[in-house]
Amino acid sequence: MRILFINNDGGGYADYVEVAPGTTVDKFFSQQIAGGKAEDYLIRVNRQPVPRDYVLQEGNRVTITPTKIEGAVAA
Amino acid sequence: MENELSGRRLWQVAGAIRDQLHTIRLNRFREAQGQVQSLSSDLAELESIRRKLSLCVARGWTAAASGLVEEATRLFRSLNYSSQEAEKAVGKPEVTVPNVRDVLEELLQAEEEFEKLRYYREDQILAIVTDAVELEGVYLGDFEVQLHIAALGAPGFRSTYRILALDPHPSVRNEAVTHPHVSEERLCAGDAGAAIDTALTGGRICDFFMLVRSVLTNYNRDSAYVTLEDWDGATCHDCGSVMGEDDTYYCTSCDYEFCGECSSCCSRCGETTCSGCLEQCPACEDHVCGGCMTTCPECGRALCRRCREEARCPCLEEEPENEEESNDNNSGGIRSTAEGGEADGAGSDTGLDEAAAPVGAEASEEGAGEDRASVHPDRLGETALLP
Repeated sequence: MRILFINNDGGGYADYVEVAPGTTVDKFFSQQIAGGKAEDYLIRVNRQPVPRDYVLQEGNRVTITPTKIEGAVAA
Repeated sequence: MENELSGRRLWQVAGAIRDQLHTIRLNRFREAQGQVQSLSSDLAELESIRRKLSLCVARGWTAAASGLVEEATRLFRSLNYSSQEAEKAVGKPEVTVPNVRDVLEELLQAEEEFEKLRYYREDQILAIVTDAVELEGVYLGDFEVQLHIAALGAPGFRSTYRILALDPHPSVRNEAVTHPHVSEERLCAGDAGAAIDTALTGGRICDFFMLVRSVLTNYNRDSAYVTLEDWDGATCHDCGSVMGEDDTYYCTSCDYEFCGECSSCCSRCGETTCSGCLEQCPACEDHVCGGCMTTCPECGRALCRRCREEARCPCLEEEPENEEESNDNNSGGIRSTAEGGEADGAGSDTGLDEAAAPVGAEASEEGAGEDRASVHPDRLGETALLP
């Protein structure tokens, strides 16, 4: 099934991705953010916080935003 | 509160944001149009050269053909550049302009994510307030992230948002730095830069605010305007006193920082140097840095460059004294000899002898002086080591 995934970790692009039916948010996160800890991210489905065992549905809008991003000094 | 968003105002703001996003999209196409136009102009010029070259070849006009070939060579370079720029411009990701309802939902989400979503109507500024930020024990206060809606359509997003410290605790070293990554209300987004730009371009206002908050609540000590360690002022490496920005001096020799009392500067090159890194020249007694110190070629003593160039080392100044002393000692005997000579050879025009004797004596004395110069001044009292 197809969902809209907005990955704010990196370039921040939004794209449709295919996920297997029954995929939970937790599993989807692990697939998309390799090596990341869920507690270091804000995960929203259809703009709402959801439990990690929430099962994704067709057409869901999933956003993953890191809570810790390194700023820098302007060059 | 007047600045709070509600109902109708929310729709108005969402509409204003969407209009700006439309401008962004239009600007992208405008830029692509410009680049394609530039490439097209180059191609037209190339076509003109082609026609002329055909004519020259047909009529055997080799000189003119040569000029056209040179022109074509220059044009190909320009074509290469304009082709790449055009490709870049048209290859940029399509900007999808969300509908007003999508933008409205972004604003509603922002209201839920952040306790206070404000709108300053006069300036068309949408803002959220973060919780108080404390990084590694340094309290920085809360910040207002202001998004200037009217500036959204401007390229680069440089003036689109500002970070205001509502309870400022700026660094002692620089009052404009209210956060390690905020200077003069400008955030250096670092790793979040690309995501912020993409979020703004796509009208994902809530994502934008969340990303900015993620930068403000994190600390990158490797790239901060002022590090948290120096937030309350750096300490002098010598006396340990806390220094403000205007009273901090960097020693170019040892790379440490010093207060005004403990720092100085080299008398030769003017470089800021701490007192510990300055050396006193034994000749001129000026204090100079290591870079301006050298050694005397004669005795190896440390000396400043100017004194070396002017041969002012104490070892060189002692030699003429020694020579003079010897001259004094020997010239007395020489004079007596000369006088005796005069008495003996009275009437003879032997002025040359008088002159010669001292000269000869001086010559021999000079020779002895030269021999003495080869002996270190400290060893003059020792048995002479003359060949």
